[in-house]
Amino acid sequence: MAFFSRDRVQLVLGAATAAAITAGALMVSTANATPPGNAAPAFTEVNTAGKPISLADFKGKTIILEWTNDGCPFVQKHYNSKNMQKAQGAATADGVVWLSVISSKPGSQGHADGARADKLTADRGAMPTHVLLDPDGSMGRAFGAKTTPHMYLITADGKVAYNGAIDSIKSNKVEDVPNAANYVTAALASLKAGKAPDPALTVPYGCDVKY
Amino acid sequence: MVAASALAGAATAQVSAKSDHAEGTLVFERSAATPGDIFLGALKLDLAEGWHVYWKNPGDSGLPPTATWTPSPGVTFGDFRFPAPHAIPLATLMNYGYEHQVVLPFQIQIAAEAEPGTDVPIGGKIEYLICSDICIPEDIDLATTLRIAAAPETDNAGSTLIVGTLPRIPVALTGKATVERTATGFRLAVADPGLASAIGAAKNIRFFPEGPELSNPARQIVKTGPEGVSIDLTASDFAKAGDQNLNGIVVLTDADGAAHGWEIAATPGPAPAGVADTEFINADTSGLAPPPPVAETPPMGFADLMLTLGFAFVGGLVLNLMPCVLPVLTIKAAGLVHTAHDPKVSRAHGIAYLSGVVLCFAAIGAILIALRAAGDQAGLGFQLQYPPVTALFALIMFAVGLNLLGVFEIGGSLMGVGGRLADKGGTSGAFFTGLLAVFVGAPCVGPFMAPAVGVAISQPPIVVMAVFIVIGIGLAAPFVLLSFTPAFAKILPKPGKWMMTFRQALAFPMFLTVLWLLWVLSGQTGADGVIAVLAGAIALAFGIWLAERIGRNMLGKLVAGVVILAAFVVPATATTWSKAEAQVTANAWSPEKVAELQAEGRVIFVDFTARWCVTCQFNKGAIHDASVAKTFSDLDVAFLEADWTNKDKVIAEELAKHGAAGVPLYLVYPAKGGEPKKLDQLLTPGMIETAVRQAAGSL
Repeated sequence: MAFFSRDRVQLVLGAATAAAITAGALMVSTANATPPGNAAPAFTEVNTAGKPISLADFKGKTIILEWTNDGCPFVQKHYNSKNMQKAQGAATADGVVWLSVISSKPGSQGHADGARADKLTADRGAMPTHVLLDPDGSMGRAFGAKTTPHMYLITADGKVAYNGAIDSIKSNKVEDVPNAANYVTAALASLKAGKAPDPALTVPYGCDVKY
Repeated sequence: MVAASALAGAATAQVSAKSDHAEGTLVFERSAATPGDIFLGALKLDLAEGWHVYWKNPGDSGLPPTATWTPSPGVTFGDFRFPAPHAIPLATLMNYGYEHQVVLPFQIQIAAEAEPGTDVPIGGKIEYLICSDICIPEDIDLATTLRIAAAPETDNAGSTLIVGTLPRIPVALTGKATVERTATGFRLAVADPGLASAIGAAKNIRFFPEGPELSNPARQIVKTGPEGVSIDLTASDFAKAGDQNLNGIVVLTDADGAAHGWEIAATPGPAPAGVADTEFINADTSGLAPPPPVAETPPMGFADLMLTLGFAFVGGLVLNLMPCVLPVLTIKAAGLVHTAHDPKVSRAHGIAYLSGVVLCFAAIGAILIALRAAGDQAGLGFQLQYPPVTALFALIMFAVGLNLLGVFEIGGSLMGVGGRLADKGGTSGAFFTGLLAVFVGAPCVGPFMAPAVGVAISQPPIVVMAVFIVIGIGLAAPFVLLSFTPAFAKILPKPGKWMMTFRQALAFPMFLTVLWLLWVLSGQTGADGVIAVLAGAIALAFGIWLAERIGRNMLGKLVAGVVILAAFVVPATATTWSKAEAQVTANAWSPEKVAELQAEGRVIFVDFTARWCVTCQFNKGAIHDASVAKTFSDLDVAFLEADWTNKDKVIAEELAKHGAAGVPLYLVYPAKGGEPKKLDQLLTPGMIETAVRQAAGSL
């Protein structure tokens, strides 16, 4: 908790505003929800090289967040079919920042330190811009990430444009990949064409994030 | 399974197969079926300890079991019928599923052309995601044959298992299910005789949604009544704005763990009566839901706690500057001059004052903790912004202002009691000054305490208590410091005539506070609430004047007391009538406007009213009800008002046309056009909603 955390500032502001007897703006604590149209919560997590990576680093760029856990069968479905790698390659080639996030707590399935995460990326031929390590789950909770995979698309001005499943068929079977509509690549295409993604909010499917 | 197969005899078609964490068995009601037969089969899954599979809506993650039947000529397979699931919490997420064992019945239909004496193959691939803290997709292949005979034969083991499972399968609702939007989500209300009769034995009650529109881990607040249950549910991002249907099942679990489910297809509308009389406390909170999200803040470390308390102290300190508290303190501080010569007395007063303040804040903290324990999470913020509370605060501030001006010295009010005790000058006086400071400060603090309360309330009770006590210490600190440091007291000017002038001057910040509270109230209730409080203020002033003038005899005291009481009670009750957030706004009525809107195919609600008509004003409460506003906006109802306060020939003619001698008259024109329906002269929100829904063709 930072010294001037939201909680503490609210505590003092609450009293100070009363003293001033002004019709101060009501402080509303925001729930951990990121429906499309809302500003993406700010985050700072280290990448596999130990370098802090923040939302603010990518001002003006489109960002994709992918919650991942290499032990999860649903994640394996999209990596074994190369579905995820293809999407990563196409997006990053287009200047999109792709951040794979690992929120598994230490000791749980999918947890990775920098070295293991790098090895996973190399072994799977994955192409994210960074893999972010979020072992305390703070970033996952801030975004309300529920499953692996759980995908978010953030616009250049920091707004959530898509939140939900990677594609339309809820299964762990590789053979379903070709028949499914990939919501993430569709959302990227819509954004590029200057349109709002449709759907912009879907129910994510997969394993639970191992908070 | 081997044993079961042997018991059932050689004729059974039962078949089993194992995967790593489960064993699946296909069982059948029949050991031989007839041509055209319809009967039940079931998939039984025995799960390894600590593993679970999912309901049809798995909750936040997971997938339900599926069957891919091998096509068999003349055999038709129905879908799995899912029994009532359990809520399975996982960290901050919630899943719906089954542990230990689940039996999933499904229908089997044999074609009429099937030949007796033949065997039909039955089987397929069963796939299920099975999870403990990790998830593994597993599958089994099951294949068997079923004999076709001229007469059906019962498979004893199979039918026993299937019949034993049927009570767990949710049944259709014979009663009524409605859903209303609330500030945080939905209120589901279910009136059903079967469900109502099962409430007595129920230990747990929970709603399992079919869709994603609810927050799965959020606590469900359950109430029951003689007719059924009502459950407060928290919406998720997937909930649409406005009214919507809600599908799922309500599950009642009794002490033996037997679960009974009712299928719910709730439609928007007011809750039926008799479903929300008493709070229902779920016995098994662990298996039901983790605490609501607000309580998920990780516990503070020691350093964090100290910092938070530091900020609470500063917050309390700042409260001293409020115009509500300042006058009390200034007067009291000036009084210190008297005791400055005796540091002992001075110190005793300081301690007493501190005790008073801290006791008050501790009481507030205790109330909040109690409210939280009672499950009133969402309510806390609202209480402080509740219009009657604002109205009462405004009136109290007005009374304090009058007191400072010297209009009255000791009234019948609490303020006066506190003031009198505070004036006593002794140690007990100092203690009551502490209470008074908090009490008088409340109107200023109240509306702004919500954020601080919100922060504190997510912490364990001991932290909440500590925060409130430290706010109190902060508030008391300057006075305590003065009383402990005689040197400070000597700097203060000598008491004298200036004190009276100063005290009177302080009345004006009070009146400014009243003005501000009225402004707040105008946002909450509109002009009606403000007028009610102003009327209350006049009554209050009159009551005080009466008490001062003729208050010496009993009758005078009684009359003054009643007037003063009414001055508080009437505005407090009046301000609850209207809710600003969802008021419907009316357009002016004219016959042309009605014709125009009818041509657009809209439902029209016309309110013939007048300011002098008391019934009309009473009915405004129903018309401006939040749920009516919602219905109006959902159904795009045009709301017209014909104001007959002043003479108006056109309105008079219209009233006569509908057989009304005067106002009120309420008309609802159907969307399809044609003659309007006349509503009763005494309205309820439900009557209006039903009428416009009928007019819109949605009932």
